[in-house]
Amino acid sequence: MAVEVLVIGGGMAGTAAALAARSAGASVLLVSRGPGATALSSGAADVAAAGDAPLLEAARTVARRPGHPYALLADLDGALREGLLLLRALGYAGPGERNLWLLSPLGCPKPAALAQPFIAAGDLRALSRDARPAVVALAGAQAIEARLQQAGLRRLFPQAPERPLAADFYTQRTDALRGVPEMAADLDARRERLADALRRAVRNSGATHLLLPTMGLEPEPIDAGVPVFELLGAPPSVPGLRLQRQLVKALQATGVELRLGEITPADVPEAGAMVLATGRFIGGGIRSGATLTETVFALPAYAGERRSLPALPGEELFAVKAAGRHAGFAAGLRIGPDLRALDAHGRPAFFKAAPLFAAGAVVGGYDQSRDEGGLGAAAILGAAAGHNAAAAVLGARRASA
Amino acid sequence: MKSFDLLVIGGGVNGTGIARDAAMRGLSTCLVEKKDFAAGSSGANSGMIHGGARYLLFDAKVTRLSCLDSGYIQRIAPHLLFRIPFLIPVLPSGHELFDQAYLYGVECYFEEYDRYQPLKNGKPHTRLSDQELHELEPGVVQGTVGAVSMDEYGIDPFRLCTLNARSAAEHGADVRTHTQVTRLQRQDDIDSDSHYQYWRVGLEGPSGSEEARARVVFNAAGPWAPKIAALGGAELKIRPGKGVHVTLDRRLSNYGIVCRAIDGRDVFVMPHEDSCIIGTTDDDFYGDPDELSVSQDEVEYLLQAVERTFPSVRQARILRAWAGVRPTLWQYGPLEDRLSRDHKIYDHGGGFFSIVGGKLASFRAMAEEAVDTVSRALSKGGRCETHKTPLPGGEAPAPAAEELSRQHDVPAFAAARIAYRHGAEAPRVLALADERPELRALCCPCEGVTFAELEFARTREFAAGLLDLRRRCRLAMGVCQGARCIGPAAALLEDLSQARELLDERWKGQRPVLAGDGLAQAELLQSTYFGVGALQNEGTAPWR
Amino acid sequence: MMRRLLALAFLAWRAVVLHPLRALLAGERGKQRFLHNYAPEALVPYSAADRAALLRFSGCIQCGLCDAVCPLMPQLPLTEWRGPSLFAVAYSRATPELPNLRTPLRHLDRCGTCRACQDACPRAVPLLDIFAFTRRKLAEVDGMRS
Repeated sequence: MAVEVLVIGGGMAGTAAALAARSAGASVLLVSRGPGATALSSGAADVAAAGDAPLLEAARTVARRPGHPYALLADLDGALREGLLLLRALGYAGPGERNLWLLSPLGCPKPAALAQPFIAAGDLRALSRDARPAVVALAGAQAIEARLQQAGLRRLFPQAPERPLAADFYTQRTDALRGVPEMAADLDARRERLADALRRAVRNSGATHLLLPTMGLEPEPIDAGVPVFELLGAPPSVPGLRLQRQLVKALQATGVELRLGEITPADVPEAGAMVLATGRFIGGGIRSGATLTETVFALPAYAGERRSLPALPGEELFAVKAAGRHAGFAAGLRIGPDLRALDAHGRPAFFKAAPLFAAGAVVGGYDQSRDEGGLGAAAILGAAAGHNAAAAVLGARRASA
Repeated sequence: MKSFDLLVIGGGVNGTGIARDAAMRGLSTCLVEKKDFAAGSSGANSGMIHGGARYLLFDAKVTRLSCLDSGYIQRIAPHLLFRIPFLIPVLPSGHELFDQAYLYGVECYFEEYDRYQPLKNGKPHTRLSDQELHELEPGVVQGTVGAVSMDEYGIDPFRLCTLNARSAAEHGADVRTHTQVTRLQRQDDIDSDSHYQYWRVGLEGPSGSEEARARVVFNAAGPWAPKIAALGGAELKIRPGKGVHVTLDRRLSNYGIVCRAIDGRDVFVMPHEDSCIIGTTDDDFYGDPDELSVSQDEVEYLLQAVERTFPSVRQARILRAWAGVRPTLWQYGPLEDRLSRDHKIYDHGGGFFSIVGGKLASFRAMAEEAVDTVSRALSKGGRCETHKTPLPGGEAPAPAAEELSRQHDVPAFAAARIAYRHGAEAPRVLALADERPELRALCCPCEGVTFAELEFARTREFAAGLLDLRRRCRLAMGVCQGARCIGPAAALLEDLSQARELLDERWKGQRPVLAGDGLAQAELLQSTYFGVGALQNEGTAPWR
Repeated sequence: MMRRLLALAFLAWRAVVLHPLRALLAGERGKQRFLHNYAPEALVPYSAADRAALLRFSGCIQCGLCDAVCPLMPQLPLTEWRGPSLFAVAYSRATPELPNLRTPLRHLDRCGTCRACQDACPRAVPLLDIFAFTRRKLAEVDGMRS
């Protein structure tokens, strides 16, 4: 056969699966149509959050929610450790036993298991109650959003400045049109100028910590006299772009074969085992037509117990409020205990004799916007699926040897 | 206690129109609106200024006046009107002779309508063969008998009401939004100073309770008119009719297409600003006009109707479904569709009046009639000038978008949309960005909304929060339905609670139509506000 | 009752006499007159090819990834070029807007169709087709006006 493990999807889940299968010794081909939700990632890696419980406890709590894929992991502890290890290898940082608490773009506290290093450094838990952290307002929409962020900071740290810190990094009035990705490029090019501007701003304000909307596409420490952190990114997200690049580098470094392009059942390469990691609605792995269906192999997808979104009265899959619980946003494939995708009869799915595994948002049962796992869950499930896929193939290889 | 000649209750197109006319005629006027301009029926209709072609046969006077008034509206707010050509395809019934005769009849009908079109700068009709129809609109189903074309105008009804209200204020009216009328009582005694009889009014607004008095009270509360009438001790019956519309993400065509629904009603799909609107239904409504929702059945009814004539509608991206209530004149017996669309002014005695019915397009004439009535009751007031005096922004053509873009350093698309929404006032709006550079940034890319425009609406156009700003500037009304812009707009107001309200309001319209691209957009919205945004954790500090 | 009869009679008069008379004397008919009426206001028809393309343009969720990878972004003033995303989510929505957008559309000349935007799009929005569509329609609008 051409390759031992085929991974479909190049986001976090697919990459985690590919890396895990590779480290188990299998040959791996990863096919990806293009970026998915992973490229819009905020810089945080969510595993689970239940109040401020320790990470493992939070994961166990969340695993008890009906249909959550964590419940299918034989060893949640082990899978959690593997996922975190993988994320750390990609540069993510954090204490690991408890969630970090980070300032969101709306100025609210947001939990995360790990985060990209300059973001993780801004763990609000690590700041003392009378710290005086300040968001830096550079220009335009970001400067306006900084007000909300600073107001949120001030609610948590009463000594913090009332307004965000204006830094005179930008001078032209058209700079007001710059978005955060454009600012990242500017920062990469004029880092010293920014450092100067920040030092001046700090001197006049007494701020003890600075939060920047971005620290560049390739961030480096900035000497402003006080610690400088990076904020989580809302779309268009610089941390997401960074992550996508890092994933590709990690795959290339370990000898995973990469192929770009759409895949259909007709041109699926021969493989010993396959991992589907094609995402949900943004990534395009799940489609909602008359029924919910997975888009590559047309496997059935579910939202709660239902296969279709159009709801009869009293059976709404989307709550009345935007902030409610929505089974629709946790739509996806049903999987078995070893993360095998299940077919229409509820039996483990095969494609041309190759067992099909699934990981990431294509798997149903967890709502990434309800603290039930996000990038972290993708890493955990991906690593487990890749490990299982490799085991299935290598087991067969050993048997035939 | 403040004294007024006239208190107008209701900030829809009629209320704001009446307040404007009255203020311009020198009457001391107070306009009270419980939520925001066009928050009721005036903000949930098809957004058309049309000449009443349906009355042509048996009520040509109405048609003439409607066309005349449409012409006036064009004159006083030229920047707000955009032309919508309509195609009226005739689908075969099975009897060829009948079909040909029918098409001929339709053509003669609109040829008659042509006589009135010049009153509103409308174009003459055309008659199109099946082939010509498909050359102009290949998306229409094959095998038609032919089609007739005519045109009407579309308008942004929120801007219209806002401009009316601003004009009223500019002429001295006391305009209050987010203010409810809690009490309405006629005083029996005559005031010793003025020798007038007054109505005592209890008002509940953002700054607390207040009392005022007015010689005449005009109830223009639309679906809430019976409630207001009851407050004043009068009985008023209306026959509320719910109408549902669906908005598509872009213009599928530059021409409106009239389609026949499964029950024989006419439904249309038409371009409206940068989207398409499909509408509408007409069903008796017995519920609370503050709690309107759209069922999937209603959406399916509309889509099925359009699909029969314009099949590719099923592949379009639906942004939302929304509903409004028509305050139709009371009649027991006729089907909803057959009810009269006429308006009526009720005199409840003692200087208390109500206005019910009518259409968006006839608001100015209705207001004129209303203020004539008030004027008579007060023996006061000059001549109506509302048909001649431009609304704010209508005094001159808007500057060219590219010019605005260059002068004020804003993106060209934003300049174009500001020019549409604000006309000659566009430079005033953009001047805010000259004072504060960050305001030139785009808040909502898909509708071209800059922070400057939001700030202008907040400070000069009575917009109190994000829900109001949505109506003024089309914030969150575009493709993203708020995914991209609600956070930044809340940041401008420094108020997250408003973000929640607008998110819920936008969500309400998306729920019945979540599918395909809209679903992916909603997934991103959830992630932005509740994933990375963590809005649900606002004000908490769980680690302490 | 009388009024209705009169109205119908007048319609009949129009149908039998006035209309055929006008038809004899009228100049432009049908499609010609329609275009003459409306095309000068940028209300141009969509061809079948336009419509087929248009229905694939709706995938944009405004994530901004295309703007972040567009090589023209750092080169052009932000008032004139805000990246590919606005083509998907604003410019291609209504042809009457296009005459206001000459400057961004002119910059498409510098778009070397490098495909970075299309490759970066999570929803596979056909951005290059959208660019072509907007240029095509603006050219049509200009053509119909002259």
